[in-house]
Amino acid sequence: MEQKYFKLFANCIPVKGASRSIICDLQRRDYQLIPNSLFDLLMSFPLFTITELIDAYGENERETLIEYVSFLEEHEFGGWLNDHSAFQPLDLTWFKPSEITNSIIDWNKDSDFEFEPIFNELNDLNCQYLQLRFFDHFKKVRLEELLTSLDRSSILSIEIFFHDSLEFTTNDFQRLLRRFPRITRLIVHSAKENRYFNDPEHFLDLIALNYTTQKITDEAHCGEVHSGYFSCNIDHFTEAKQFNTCLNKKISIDKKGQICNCPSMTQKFGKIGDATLNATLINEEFTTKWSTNKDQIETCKDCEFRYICSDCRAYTEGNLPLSKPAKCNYDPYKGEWN
Amino acid sequence: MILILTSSDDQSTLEVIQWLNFYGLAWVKIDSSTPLTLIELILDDKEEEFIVETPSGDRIDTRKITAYWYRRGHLKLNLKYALEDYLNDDTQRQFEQHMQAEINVLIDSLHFCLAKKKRLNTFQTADLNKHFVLSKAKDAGLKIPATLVTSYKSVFGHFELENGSLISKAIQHGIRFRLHEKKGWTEYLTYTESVDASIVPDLFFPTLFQSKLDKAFELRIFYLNDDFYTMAIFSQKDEKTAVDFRNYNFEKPNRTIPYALPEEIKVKLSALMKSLKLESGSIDMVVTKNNVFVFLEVNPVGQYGMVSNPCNYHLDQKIAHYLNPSP
Ligand code: SF4
Ligand code: SF4
Repeated sequence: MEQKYFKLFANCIPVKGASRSIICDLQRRDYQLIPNSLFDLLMSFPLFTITELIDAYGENERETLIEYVSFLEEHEFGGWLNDHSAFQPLDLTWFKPSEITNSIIDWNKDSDFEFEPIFNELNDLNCQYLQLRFFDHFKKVRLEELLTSLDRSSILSIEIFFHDSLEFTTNDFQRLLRRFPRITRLIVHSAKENRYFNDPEHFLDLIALNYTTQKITDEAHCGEVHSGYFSCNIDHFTEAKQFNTCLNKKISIDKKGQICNCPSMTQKFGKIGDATLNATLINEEFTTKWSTNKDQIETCKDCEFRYICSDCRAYTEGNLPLSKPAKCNYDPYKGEWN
Repeated sequence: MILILTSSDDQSTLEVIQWLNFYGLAWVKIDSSTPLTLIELILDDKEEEFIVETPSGDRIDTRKITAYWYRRGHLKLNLKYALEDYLNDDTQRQFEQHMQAEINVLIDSLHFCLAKKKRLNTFQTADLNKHFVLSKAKDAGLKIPATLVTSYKSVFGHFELENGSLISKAIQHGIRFRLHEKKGWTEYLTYTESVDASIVPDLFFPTLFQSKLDKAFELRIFYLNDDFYTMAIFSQKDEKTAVDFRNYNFEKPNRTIPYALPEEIKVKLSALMKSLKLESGSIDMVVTKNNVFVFLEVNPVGQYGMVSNPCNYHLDQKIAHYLNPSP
């Protein structure tokens, strides 16, 4: 029988960190921690047989090597074949047919801008993800009007932060989720207690309705980095390799109606009404922030999670443009969450 | 102007349209559920064109069509104006059928007219006879599974002796249906993963049998105008999916990874696609443990997203490029 060699599948990609590594399974949307010694082995031996490994590392390492290989087999990170030549690496380019892919619009009781013209502009830019953050009470009829006006737009997914109000019972919120399937998450803040509801009729069965006692009264709540926010998939991984996973193709409107990359950033690009979103995109100062990727960010560039992690450029350590997100508690040099 | 004929719910169409918009290319979409009114169909020394009107009053003049994508579905002509005046309670059914047949031929003529444009597939090639395709594949020099259609157990038995274990498939279209039995709903499929000779009756409905391939992995190939985008599917690991990838296993999905076809197979597949007059299509093949490439079938209107997304091939964008009048 011909000799069979082991090779990682193209969608299982090892990423090395300062103290340990991970294998990102981009197909099954999951990752596994591995020691750096296994990462190095995989780099030195893109194809191997067990005999070859034992020859290279010595008989003493036999047990560890067999343990490594059975780990890779168990997770189906690779396969044994006698000819691997036709198996190609994954194309890691990222592009989207949209000028803008995501947007945040903030509102409080002093806001004096209209939503609809912004929605129209976002639609022209083929924006798909929208976050609406209401820091104060917002009228029920008005919310329904806004959502209805998005019914035929390019927006596929809407996340809403809503101030709890007597106008809405839990039932009302659930009815809203059903009536507007584009709402993927509804967070009701300033609530009396923390509660979530899994809506069985909601197509993804996500936690669609979430009450929190946290008071979200301005943009400062944003920017947290957490392993729960990791996304291990081709789209995120490829975007993270080249671009900033928070700010790339994002445009936002802060509560004062000012155009910005994100409401927490101090630099503003004129008031909506006086300036257009489209014109802002021509400004290089605006778009340059899109390309700050994790390989350029201090600490993150040594972190094994860098291509599955989110990022924040508004709240950074020491407020420096290339330091790590201030609200991340992970230390890649120790491999510990603090 | 790019014309797209598609079914109303097709996701791939929407994705390609996003790219057309992004490139600033003008397009018009007809979906099979939209009844069109024929204004004119002209054929003379100078031209072969038609004009139809949509229910919202927009006119589509084929003179302005720079490229045509037949994605799926069919054209539908408004029959109201054509039949209503002639039909009343006394009108004979025979007459109605005749008119319908005339209209169908007219629709065919429109499809022929569109097929003359710079195009990506045509209605005429949307549903190719599978036997015909296998025969053409053989002519193109591709290996195909030994295939038998029979109603007789004795013939089946001979074929099995010669070819080893067999699978059965639909002659053209498979369906899955559910029947209520004592224990609840049971799902039935019109293919079997391996035929148990002991339960084959002496005489049965004509059934297609093929030799069961000893596969190392399957290939799903998207062909686009002489380019190949291939995905290898490792399904053998899991007993549940040992015969057909479409029998999904959601818990642990089969490994789907990019693959480069050997030059020799590409040449043969290109010849096959040209002989079938297809500019694009999804091709299924199997690579056996002895490294033999076996052709199974081609689906001109298949869901190529299942190849594009796992392999990050950006096929929607590539289709939009192909349709661009000035690339
Ligand atoms: S940069 Fe930070 S604060 Fe701004 S949107 Fe992103 S995560 Fe939030
Ligand atoms: S160090 Fe950087 S990449 Fe690592 S978890 Fe924190 S923010 Fe994410």
